[in-house]
Amino acid sequence: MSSIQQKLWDGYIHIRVVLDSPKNGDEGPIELVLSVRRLSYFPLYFEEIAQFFARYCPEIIDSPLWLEYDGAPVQWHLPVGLLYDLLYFPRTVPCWTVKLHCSEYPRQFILPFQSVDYKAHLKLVVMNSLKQSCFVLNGSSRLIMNLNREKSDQLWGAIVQHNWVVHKDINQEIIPITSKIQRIPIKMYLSGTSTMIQSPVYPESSDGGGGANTLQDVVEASFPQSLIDKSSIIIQGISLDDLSTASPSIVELWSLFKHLDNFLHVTIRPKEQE
Amino acid sequence: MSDLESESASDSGPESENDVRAPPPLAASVLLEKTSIVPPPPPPEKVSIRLVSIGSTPSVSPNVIRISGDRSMAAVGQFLRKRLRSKSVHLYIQNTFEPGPDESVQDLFNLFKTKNELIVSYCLQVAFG
Repeated sequence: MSSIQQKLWDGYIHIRVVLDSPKNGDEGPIELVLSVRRLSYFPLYFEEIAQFFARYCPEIIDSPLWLEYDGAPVQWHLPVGLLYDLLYFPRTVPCWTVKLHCSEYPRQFILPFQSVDYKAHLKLVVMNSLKQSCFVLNGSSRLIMNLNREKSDQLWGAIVQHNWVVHKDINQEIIPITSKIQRIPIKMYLSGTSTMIQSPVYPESSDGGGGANTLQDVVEASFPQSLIDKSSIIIQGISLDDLSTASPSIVELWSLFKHLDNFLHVTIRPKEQE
Repeated sequence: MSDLESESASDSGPESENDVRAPPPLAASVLLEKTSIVPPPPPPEKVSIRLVSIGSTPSVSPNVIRISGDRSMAAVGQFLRKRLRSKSVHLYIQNTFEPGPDESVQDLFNLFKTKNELIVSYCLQVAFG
């Protein structure tokens, strides 16, 4: 594995979960600090969070918990690394503090859970995303639909257990070799809004010259230049500011920086003014 | 053909209530304002969605609806739930995957359309596990 992929795969974010309005008198905030993998999803940690906080908020046993950051319900179906890039700034300390809620689930803003079987719900969402990206890459979802039950369970297991070898092994069955890629699954998010854009992105640039499509081309096709000039473009925590001087091909970026759902998630974030 | 906006306007409440899009963090939206960045305007056009029932799920009428591209799939789900008088309905694109309720109709149309229509199949149960 390339050292970039190794670093990404091993990447952690420190998350401080603080209980909203604790009922423990003057003891101060009740909190749990977790190391959460960048390439993972919050619901994989919800069971641990629920167990820890159950004695302070018993309703957490049967009713789904949710996280909030700075007035925004955290969308659990998005990868943790993306949420950190998209939501958490200005960043005073690297540890991201989020508020835990045990009631009043905001169904209108984030996907609901029918039960506290968080992993089962996450599995549905992630497997559907994988089918979607498989379709975009191959022009059909045949490859993933043809995985037998055992392999499809192994793929999910590898995502839950963060098992590189198994994940790579099965994932390469559902993504085409580079020369056969039809379109690249990309989602772009504009920080400070609820805008998420995905558009058909081809490996080759549309100018007819046969050159590679670059991240700059892709971003410019969806966002006005005035916005791009005032923003940072962030992928997997890395800010790619000077796109015009070194703009790697979008296929290359996708294959190095894609998330577990095989999407390249790109954050467009306004630069902080000095 | 039916226009979804006029169909559901009477009882759907504010748009954000059924589009399942989370508001941004306060600091993030303040920063956006400070930099006077203008987010891209929503796509002006409406797109056609053809609704196809799966298995024993009843068909709805009309089976082709027009919806403004900046709405999310949650709005389509809500339309179907109302027509089918059901609490839950599963929507599929290309008969394979369930899109996220937060995904925009325009984006899905651009990526997965067939003959200028986005074909959405729907089922009261999970159809493609």
